[in-house]
Amino acid sequence: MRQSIVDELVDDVAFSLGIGRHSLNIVAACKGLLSGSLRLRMAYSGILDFSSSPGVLSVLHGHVRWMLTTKLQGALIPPTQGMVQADFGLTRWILVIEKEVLWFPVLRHGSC
Amino acid sequence: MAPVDPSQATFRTLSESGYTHNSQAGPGLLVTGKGYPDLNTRLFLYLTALARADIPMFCLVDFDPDGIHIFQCYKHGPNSVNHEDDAKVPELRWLGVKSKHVLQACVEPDGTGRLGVVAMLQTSGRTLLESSQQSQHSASSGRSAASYELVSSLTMRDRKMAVSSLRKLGREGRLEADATDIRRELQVMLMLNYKAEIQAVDDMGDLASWLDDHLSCS
Repeated sequence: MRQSIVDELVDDVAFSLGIGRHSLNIVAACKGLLSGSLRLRMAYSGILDFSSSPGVLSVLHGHVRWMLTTKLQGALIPPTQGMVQADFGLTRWILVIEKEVLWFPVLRHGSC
Repeated sequence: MAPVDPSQATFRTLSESGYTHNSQAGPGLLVTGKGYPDLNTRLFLYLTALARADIPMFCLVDFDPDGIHIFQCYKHGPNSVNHEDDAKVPELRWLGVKSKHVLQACVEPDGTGRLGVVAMLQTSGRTLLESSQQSQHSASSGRSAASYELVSSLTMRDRKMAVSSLRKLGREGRLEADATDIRRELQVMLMLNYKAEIQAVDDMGDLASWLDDHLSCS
């Protein structure tokens, strides 16, 4: 079944009940990535640190693998329902970028 | 999969190079929804804007109808879930890529055309049908080196999408500066028949220094 059809059905159900879609707990697997001086206190999984400065590991039990594998390339944005507190540190700006990575041939430099 | 030029990738390269810490604009936060954002990503941005309205939030997308649509998706939410008013970020500012950035990056100070403009002029003789066939072909062959262009002409799908976005803007009748800006950029795109990817603007240097300039002065 196409995602757009599923989306429409879920939206219809949510609308009929007069609630937001996330209240139904039907949420797609997390896709967005985050990187920067942000620490999120989560309801059940301790503190997530999205700082990408190498060598800093303030990781709590249970989330070591998550943070180790994704630290430098950004980490998945956890479900917002679980967020209790956010520490933005000295953050001065937030930049939303369309793409995670751009795939194209290195050959392009030959034409410069 | 095609090889990645490490100096050009956006979110990942900026993140790996520590741009969030060493930016001239101060420490910051990078977010990507990998194309059209999911609800969780939009909710996160909404909550962030609510909690820290003092931190400016910018959006960097391709200069093409999809890029502009993605920006609007973050800012006003997708059309399909209109009743979910909360997952929108009206404060989001459109950093680029805009037509002026592409032209700045493509034309050197002495006025000679750079590769983007040359590529654009070379393709301008081609009919739209041919270019849309070519893009279908390159999509199926996994973006061959020869057909890849940072600046290219619009496909039929691009044109249809741009026109429907313009219609939608007209219907909604929004008058804020952003809507005027979007309308203008879509019209330029259609009239001059070109689109550009984010990395077209870093052709002059690298994306990090381009962002330093734009994040600081915005």
